Amino acid sequence: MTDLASAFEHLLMPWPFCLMLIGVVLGVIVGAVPGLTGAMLIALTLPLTYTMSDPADAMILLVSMYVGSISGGLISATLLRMPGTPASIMTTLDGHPLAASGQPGRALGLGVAGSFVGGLISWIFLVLLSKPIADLSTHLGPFDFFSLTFMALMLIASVAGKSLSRGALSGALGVLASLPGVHPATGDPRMTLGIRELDAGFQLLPVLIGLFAVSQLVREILRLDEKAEATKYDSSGLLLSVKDWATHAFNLIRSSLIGVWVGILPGVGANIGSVLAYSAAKSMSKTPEKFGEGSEEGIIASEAANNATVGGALIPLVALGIPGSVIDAILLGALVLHGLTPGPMLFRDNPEVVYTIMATTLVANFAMAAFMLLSIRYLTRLMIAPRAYLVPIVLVCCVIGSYAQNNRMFDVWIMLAFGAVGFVMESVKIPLAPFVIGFILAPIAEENLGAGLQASGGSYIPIVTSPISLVFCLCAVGLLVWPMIRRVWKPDG
Amino acid sequence: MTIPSTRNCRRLRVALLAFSFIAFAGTVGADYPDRPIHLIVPFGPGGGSDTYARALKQAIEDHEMLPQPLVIVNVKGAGATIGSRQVKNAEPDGYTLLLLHEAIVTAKYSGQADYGPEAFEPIAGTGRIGLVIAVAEKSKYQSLTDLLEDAKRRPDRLVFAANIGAPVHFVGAMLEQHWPGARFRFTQTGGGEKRLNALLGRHAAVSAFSLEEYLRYQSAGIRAIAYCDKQRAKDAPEIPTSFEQGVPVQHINMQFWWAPKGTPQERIDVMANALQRAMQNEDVIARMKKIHNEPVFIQGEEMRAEVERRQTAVSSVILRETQELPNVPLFVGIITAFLGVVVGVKSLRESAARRARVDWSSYCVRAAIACTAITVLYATLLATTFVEFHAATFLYVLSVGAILTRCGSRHLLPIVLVAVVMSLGLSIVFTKFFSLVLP
Repeated sequence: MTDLASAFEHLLMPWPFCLMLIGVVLGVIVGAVPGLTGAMLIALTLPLTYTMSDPADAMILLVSMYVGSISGGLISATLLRMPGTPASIMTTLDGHPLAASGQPGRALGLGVAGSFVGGLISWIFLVLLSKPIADLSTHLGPFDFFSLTFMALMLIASVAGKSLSRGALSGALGVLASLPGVHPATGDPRMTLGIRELDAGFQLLPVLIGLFAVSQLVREILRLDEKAEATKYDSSGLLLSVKDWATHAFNLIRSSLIGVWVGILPGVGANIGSVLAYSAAKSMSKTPEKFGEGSEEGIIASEAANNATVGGALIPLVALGIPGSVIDAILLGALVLHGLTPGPMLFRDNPEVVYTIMATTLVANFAMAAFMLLSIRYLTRLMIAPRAYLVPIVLVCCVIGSYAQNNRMFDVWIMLAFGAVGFVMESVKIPLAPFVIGFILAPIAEENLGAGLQASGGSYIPIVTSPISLVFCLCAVGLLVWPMIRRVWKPDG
Repeated sequence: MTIPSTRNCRRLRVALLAFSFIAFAGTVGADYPDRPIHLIVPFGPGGGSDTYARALKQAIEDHEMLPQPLVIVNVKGAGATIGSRQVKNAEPDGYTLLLLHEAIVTAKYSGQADYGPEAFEPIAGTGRIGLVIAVAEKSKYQSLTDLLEDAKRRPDRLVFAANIGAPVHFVGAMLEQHWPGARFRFTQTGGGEKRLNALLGRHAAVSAFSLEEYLRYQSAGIRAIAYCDKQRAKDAPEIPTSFEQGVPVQHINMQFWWAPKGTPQERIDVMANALQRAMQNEDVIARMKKIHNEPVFIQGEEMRAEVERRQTAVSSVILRETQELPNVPLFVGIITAFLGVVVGVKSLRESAARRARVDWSSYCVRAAIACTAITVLYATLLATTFVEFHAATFLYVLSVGAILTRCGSRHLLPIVLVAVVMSLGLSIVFTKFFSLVLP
């Protein structure tokens, strides 16, 4: 606890505090502007943090961006009927009708309140669960880690997107893209087609920037003619009354808990969290018919859950080194770049970094709520910023961002190529998130499988004789089989 | 023949002057360096080699040991071979150098690279830090001989947590070599923290750490059984050496500085001198003491001999093929192909009318195609380094902006402003603020 206190102390010093504010403000803005996503912002900021001497400062900046960007999306979802980030799709359903019916202030106020409480509750879990899970992970052998990541891979296949087969295909393609380069367990180069530059495989950052930023920007150009019609903003009802809090307390807590849980599951991000919480709220509501017509419960459920995934997804990241979402994968990259290995050793060797991440999550949550309440009026103007200025600026940042990581043009080509891949995939309605998760988890799974086999002398038996590994394996099989069974039972569902 | 006009004449003179400067700089080393030197560190930022390089860079720049700055360029990946290959293929003008330790030798003998130290000109070797063989605190092994005796009695049973193909793996193989019959089971574990974890979780019986890592991790619950050198370490005199225990395995890590083959000797000397002075600098000495690294310096024949000795030691070790591993690419390929067919069939069955039609004549579609083409052109321009970063970026932002605003005159001024800010502003922010190298 003293570590956490000193992390708060550090965070409240001028420079870290400044970084935190910059992160939150940029995050909210990027979240609010349709077409720019938090993953894009964080991936592009990552190269800039190389030169920060203190990794804790880098994490302050990136984590605040994470918190800000997840929240900012609700503004454009409510006023423009366009989710600023994928995480706020569900908010659009009720936020915009409520705003259009003459209560934009109230719609936004509910969203901000939901985000704030979601962030708060997930923070408590982050603080309570990380250390015990990290301590436990020393006992996990290579096969246990393999089974854990294997389960996570099955998970993305079964929950991502509307179509099971498309999600699975996306994940499989991601795994495939992770294969070229050095074999994670033996160090031998493979599948490099004789291209020496490919010996190191496809790097995470160019792949991410390409998939999420470049393909999105091309899509923005295609939508050049669409003009978003902004609902007129007025601030009445922005702050909730005590009675409001009391009415929505249960919904807030339930949605937050769903968000935390979804966040902890590796590979499932904020959008799934808000979908699940929204459907839970709908099925338990006394007025389910209002959902989609401007239900206050719907806004709260969606926003509380998507913010709660932030803290939840950070738990496996700091405790096990397994990213809980796409943005966490970039944060993992940031830690590794600064020479830190997440997991139990991080708690021992660099407790200040872990506790700084925790402290930032909380303080950034307050800063986010304050900033959103104060600046919504101005943000609404920014949202309709002409794409003509935005697109070239972000594209130049994409080029520099991919180049700077490794100082070679090859990564820029990779970035452009994956931009094309991302564009094609979205055009044929294959979701992108499973691709990234497969891309990140496959090497972890393969390295641990290889290490396990090397340690067992080639025997696969320990996978099922180690109790921890067995549990994960059973879960994995269950996750794979369950959706199929459900389909056979209810072919129309 | 016409007489050139005065203006042309002046142009010619300027060109000649410029040319003679280039020629001059090319032949005489006295002016070296007249622009920043790029030091390629083939590992990621924040790692051991990177922090080492940055410590020396700081000293060299603070005390003006070189007239030009040293720019650190991280090019990581594939067992440091991506970075070393870049230097190997670089212009041998002394402006692209490489910092790479033992891995330059081990990469060659483990098959990760098809070249070794012979592909470079040696500049100098700096620093000295030994490797420690360690076991878990509660392990039954009290000495190196205990361990090796057990590895001989139960060959291929004791798990050695290693980084396959890297120095830690080689040191394990060297131990086996000096104790006939002993065989470890080498397991890919990864960096220092992961190897520590493997010992603590009893997933491995033994592993190796650099002295610095060992002293940092010691309190977590590991115990050293040997220090791989002839003399005991000054900072940890309680650890017996491998030589004392009758196992003559020496493993000292040293940072080597390399230039591309064919770099003029004068330039190599300039760099070597700067390094030598840096290693005598008080700040550097204090910093090296903190990371338990002895600030030694070798160059010329001494360095060649040192590298040669390492080559012999490493080449005599035979790395056994580790366990046969499943053919993951094959499985993944089959699964992907299967899913691809499923999705393909499904989307064909969806009615064609529901699919979005692309209207090729619309402005947006054309703009998207044009912008994509311009982006590719922009990257090509940067890659050829024909055009400076500012110029290329300015043109790029201007043209994309113009297309997206439909060349409206109202937007022209703001677009030009944005272009200027992006090109000049970014290059200043990135190079001065973040000391990154731009394309």
